[in-house]
Amino acid sequence: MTIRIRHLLALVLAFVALAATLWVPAAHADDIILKVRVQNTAEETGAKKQPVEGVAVVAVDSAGNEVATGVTDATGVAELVVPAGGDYTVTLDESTLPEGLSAGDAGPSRTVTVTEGLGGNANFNLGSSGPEAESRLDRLPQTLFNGIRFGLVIAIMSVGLSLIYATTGLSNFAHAETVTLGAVVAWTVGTNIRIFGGTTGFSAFMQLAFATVCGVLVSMLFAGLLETRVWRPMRRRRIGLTSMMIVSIGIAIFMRYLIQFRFGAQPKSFPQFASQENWNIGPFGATPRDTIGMLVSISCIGGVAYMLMKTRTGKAIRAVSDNPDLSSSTGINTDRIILFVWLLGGALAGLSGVLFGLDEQVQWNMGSRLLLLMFAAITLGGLGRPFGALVGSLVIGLAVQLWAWLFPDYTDLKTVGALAGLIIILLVRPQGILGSKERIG
Amino acid sequence: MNWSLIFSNAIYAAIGVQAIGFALAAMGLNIHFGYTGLLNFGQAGFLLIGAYSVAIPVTVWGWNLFVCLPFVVITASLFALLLGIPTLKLRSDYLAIVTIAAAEILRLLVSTPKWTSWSGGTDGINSFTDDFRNAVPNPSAQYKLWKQPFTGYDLWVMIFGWTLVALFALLTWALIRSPWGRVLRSIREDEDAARSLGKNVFSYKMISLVLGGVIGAFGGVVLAIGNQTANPITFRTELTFFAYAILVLGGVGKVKGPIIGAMIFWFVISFSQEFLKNITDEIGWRAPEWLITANNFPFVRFMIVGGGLALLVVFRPQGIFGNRKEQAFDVR
Repeated sequence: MTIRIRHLLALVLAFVALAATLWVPAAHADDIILKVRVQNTAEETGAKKQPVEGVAVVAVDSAGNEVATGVTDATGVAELVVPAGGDYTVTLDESTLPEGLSAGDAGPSRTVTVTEGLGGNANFNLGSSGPEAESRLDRLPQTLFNGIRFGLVIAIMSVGLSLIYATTGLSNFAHAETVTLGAVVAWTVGTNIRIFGGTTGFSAFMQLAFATVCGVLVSMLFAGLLETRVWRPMRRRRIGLTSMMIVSIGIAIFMRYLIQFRFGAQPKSFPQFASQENWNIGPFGATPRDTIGMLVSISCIGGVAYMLMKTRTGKAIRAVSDNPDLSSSTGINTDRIILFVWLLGGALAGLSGVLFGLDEQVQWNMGSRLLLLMFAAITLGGLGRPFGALVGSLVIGLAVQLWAWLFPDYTDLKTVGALAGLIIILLVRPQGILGSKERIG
Repeated sequence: MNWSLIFSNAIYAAIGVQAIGFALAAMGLNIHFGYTGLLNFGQAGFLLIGAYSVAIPVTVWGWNLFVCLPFVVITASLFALLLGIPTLKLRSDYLAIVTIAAAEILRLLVSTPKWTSWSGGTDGINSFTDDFRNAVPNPSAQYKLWKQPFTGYDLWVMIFGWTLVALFALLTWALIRSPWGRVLRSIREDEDAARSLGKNVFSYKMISLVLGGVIGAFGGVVLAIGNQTANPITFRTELTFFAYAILVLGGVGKVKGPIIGAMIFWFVISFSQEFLKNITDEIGWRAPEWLITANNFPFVRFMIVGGGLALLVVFRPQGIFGNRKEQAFDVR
């Protein structure tokens, strides 16, 4: 019982500080905006959603009065100004839909809850009303491309998890919440603290970059504080790895629900980047947002790989993960190396949270939904091998997308494919793709 | 603030269906983790197997509900064998990853809309408890525990559930005292030592996995019959983590640990839930809006669970009843 009260106090303070970040009040807008977004998911030009222009929409309040109408613009968005918060039913005028498109499986109406200050969102994903235009084989290159893109995001998430496992032996379940925290903070900062005024083009990009930096910093701070205030004292007390893993589960659950408590259960998207035109390069289609995201992922992984192989710190990290006692007796400051790994892992997790949030949406459980895929990726690649995490992530990303391609009727089971693949590979080659045999026994 | 209602709710929660289901889940984990040192993170999968092994035969094949109970033993054992054969020879982290993945696969398989005629999709299966209702003497009688009303059906579910808990506790107690149980604990302490004494570690681990899995599956049966629904939402990964919280709270490696742990756990959950509901609703004193509202108070109880689990493991890893010397925490 000799854990110092100082540590506990600092931990409490740290959580308060983190919680305060999430407490940023919502910006008060004068008009309450109900944003309607109409997208075409039927034409699989790039498996990305295409905005649909010129669709008439109408909002009806809970008493049945028509309160606002609008027509979608070139970005597929119509902003309806509603008089007050509450529930509204938004309906598409199906006669204004382009030829060959229908309102999709969910029908032409949505009920949306609008809150004052935050507004509300209604998303319509149109389906095809005619026969499928493109054959399945034509979609294969795009599927592979999307698989690699998804795999790269998983890779920068799981590189940190893998490095932490390699240097400390801890399977850190709270890594999922580090991811979510980065995305949630970036979303909150990006929507509430405007530094760059514009909502399009370069200034929107700069605003997003600023928000991303904030998110990454908070994730890094979170990971660093956990290391210095929780894991390091526990290592000093020689508490076992299983205990530490269960503590990380506790912290993960606490943080997950703290985020839900403050951020709410509704998914939110980065507004200015929600829909963009595709750039088509050969058989591939990608929006500028995806392209930049992919370049960021690749350069991060390249940077980490360079750092591990070529720099002194990288060598020290590899030494610590091989044998912590031996490396500390050769003069490596093990605690500093481990702290560096935590900060790096936290920063990468925060960044990947923002990238994933841009790709899909920001939600309180986005990290924990992906955690299993991250564990699957690092186990597949070989536990404790940093490059194994990269290989494993790409395999997982491709497996998920290829499942959706092979079994278009069972896309909700695409995670099952990846997880079942993990179990099968463990049967055949338990050390993973890049792992060495002595680690498994 | 209606204190008597809050307290009677919390007491009912401590002996009710949820507490029984989670007690059985944690008792199974106690055999895996507490006595054998197996890191099973897929207990939710065993509960799901239990619940759906009753619900699917009754609704799809028209079996009698009580005939399904032996069937639960078979399906849960098969699931344990399926998990154990590839992983029990590997290091414990692999078992953790594989069990968590397998439980999630099961949950996704029963939630998919493609097979709703079988598994009910995300709505689950809801009408399979008629046999139980017909078998008990007075299902629609009204009772009261202080201020908390409940029906005769609930009463008989509780009697059924606590009987199962007592039987399995007795079984665990007897097994752990036997020579077989001593080998199990020696595997937890030092697997190689047990192996060098000529014990077949793999088969001991496998039997432990099957036994704990079957106990957990009956937790799922109680939850399904008590809530009158078998629903994929119930069997998320978090169920496993809550069962771990219960196990650590009561004391790892103690027969009564998970039972007392489940009662305290649900008392605290229900108490905090009702208390926060009271301070955020319209009547009486209200907490300030920036702090907590009627929309977000339900998440606080999970924050208590998570924070509580972390603090317990750090400050009192032996839980309430555990023995510091016999701490089952560091499996290899």
